[in-house]
Amino acid sequence: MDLSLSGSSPLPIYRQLFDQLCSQILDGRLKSGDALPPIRTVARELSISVIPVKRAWEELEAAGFIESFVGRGCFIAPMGTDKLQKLKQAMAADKLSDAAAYCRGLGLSREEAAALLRDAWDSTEP
Amino acid sequence: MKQLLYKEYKLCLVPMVPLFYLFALMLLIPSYPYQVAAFFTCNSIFYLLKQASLNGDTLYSAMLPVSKAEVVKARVRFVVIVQMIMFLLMIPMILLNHKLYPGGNPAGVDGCVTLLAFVLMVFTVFNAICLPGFYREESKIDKLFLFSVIGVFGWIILSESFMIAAGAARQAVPLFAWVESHLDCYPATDGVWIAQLIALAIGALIYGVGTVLTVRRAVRNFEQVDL
Amino acid sequence: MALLDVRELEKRYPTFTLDKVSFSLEPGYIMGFIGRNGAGKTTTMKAMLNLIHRDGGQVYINGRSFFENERACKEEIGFVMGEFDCYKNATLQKITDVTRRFYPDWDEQAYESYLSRFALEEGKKIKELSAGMRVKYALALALSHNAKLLILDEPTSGLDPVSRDDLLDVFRSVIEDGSRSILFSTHIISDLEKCADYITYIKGGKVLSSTDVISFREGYRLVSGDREHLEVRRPKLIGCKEHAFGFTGLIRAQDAGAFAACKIAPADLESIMIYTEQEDGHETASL
Repeated sequence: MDLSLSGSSPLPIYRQLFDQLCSQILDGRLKSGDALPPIRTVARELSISVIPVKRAWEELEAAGFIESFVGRGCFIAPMGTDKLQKLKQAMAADKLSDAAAYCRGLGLSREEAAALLRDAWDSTEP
Repeated sequence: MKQLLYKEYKLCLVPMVPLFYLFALMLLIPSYPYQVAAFFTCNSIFYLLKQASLNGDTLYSAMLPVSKAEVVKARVRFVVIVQMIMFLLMIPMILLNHKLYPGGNPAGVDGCVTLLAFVLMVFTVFNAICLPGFYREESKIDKLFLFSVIGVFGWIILSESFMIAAGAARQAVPLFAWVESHLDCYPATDGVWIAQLIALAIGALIYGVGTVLTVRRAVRNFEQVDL
Repeated sequence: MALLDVRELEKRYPTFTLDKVSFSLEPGYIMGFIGRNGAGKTTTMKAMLNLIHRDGGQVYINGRSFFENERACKEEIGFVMGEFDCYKNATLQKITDVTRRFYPDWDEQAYESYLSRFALEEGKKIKELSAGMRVKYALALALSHNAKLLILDEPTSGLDPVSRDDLLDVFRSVIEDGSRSILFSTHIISDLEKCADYITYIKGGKVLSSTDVISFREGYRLVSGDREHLEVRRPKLIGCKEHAFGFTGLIRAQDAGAFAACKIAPADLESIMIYTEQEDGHETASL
């Protein structure tokens, strides 16, 4: 598990934690059944208060990424390929809607925006 | 309570307390109002209170896991111990005084059991004035000390003058004659012993009751104080 | 059950009243107690501990009434009021020797580890320590008797940034096992950002808000916009600053709808405090 927080990010800390764990679960770095460390340990390690970590964990649970068991802690939830795919799409749609709104704000057309996404896709190909 | 007394001993005791026990030696002065020696013990307790106040002792104590009442009780208990040591030190001094000056003390009460009773009165007056006030407003300790000096010396002057008057007018007044022969002399007979021990018992009773009342008032004051 | 439960605590002075202060703290969390100088933070803490005589209210420590079980409750509390300021001529060793006897749960090992962590020398006298070191000594005493609850009045204010950061680390490790809690007052907003889970905000002797940090921040928004947007919306602004090009102000989150024409951003703790403390709610910056 990799977590790094930025004080200059406009996103609140719990959101940063949520996003980072989401992407690590979606890209397979964290696998179902993996245990998450206790929230208090995470808070101490990251030098932040407990509440944002708790909030991030709660939102991950609500979104179906993790499961918590009283007394045993939190684990990455088991996910079928179907569910994984749906979560991936939901996450991507969320990001892209921001980008779409931005393009619309600049007065670009639907086609221009789509072309830009294709270009961006190609240019980031490894 | 044990811990609070230890705190008094380790952190509050000032050198004046043991040093001023030397004033017990005043009983070796030929002609003197010997109760003044006991006043110096009160004076050393004033230094203890003053220093405690400067040291922030009250706040430190109140933050410890003890109740406010216990803080007061421990302090009064410590003061009583300091006074009782002086009381005990005066006993051998009285014996020495009698050896040196078998003729008695023309400046007031003789070195005898009655003197011990009077000493207890000195302590009672001092405690009653100084301690409850200290726990109402410790910043006024200097003023309180002044009042207690007035109180203590008021008692000393009154009691010693009475004894001097008794000595001077013993022929004229029968009561004075009895005082002279029973209270203001070194006890030699059973009758005198009994009279003086009763005097001491009365002194002890007043000191005991006075201390209890002093503690009660000091605790009540301290409960209301904002630290 | 709450580790600390303060209910309707009252203290009346001729010129200041602590007005039914209530808040509670669960085990395992850190609560920041904020407010301006004179808002009543120290008075609240002292009244909680019977150091000043309260006029009303109750305080429960682990479900037990503090005022009825003063001795037992105090054993479970570590209390620091600024720097250690007593017995200036005594050595740390002497003071510790006296203090440790009052606590059945005194942890000598913990005490020694805090001494070395805070670079305190036992042979030194209180008067030889700097203000920051005196704070650290008071903290070392408070942390070494297995207190369940730490009540700290401005523990960080005399410390340099490095020591402060180190202290916040200590705080986080104290609460890590989930059984202990810390209530600390501070002026330093970054301390709160770094470790407070809950915030109790007191103003003029009254608790304005006592909630977790996220809800606290999400209860407010910062708005900025042109002056023309300002006039009609003034009543909804908690506080604002005007400048030549427009205004910036603080609103309650539920009022955000009325400011749709303005720029709305999440509020940071510092802005919340600054705008809330503007006396009349509308301060005009002089140009």
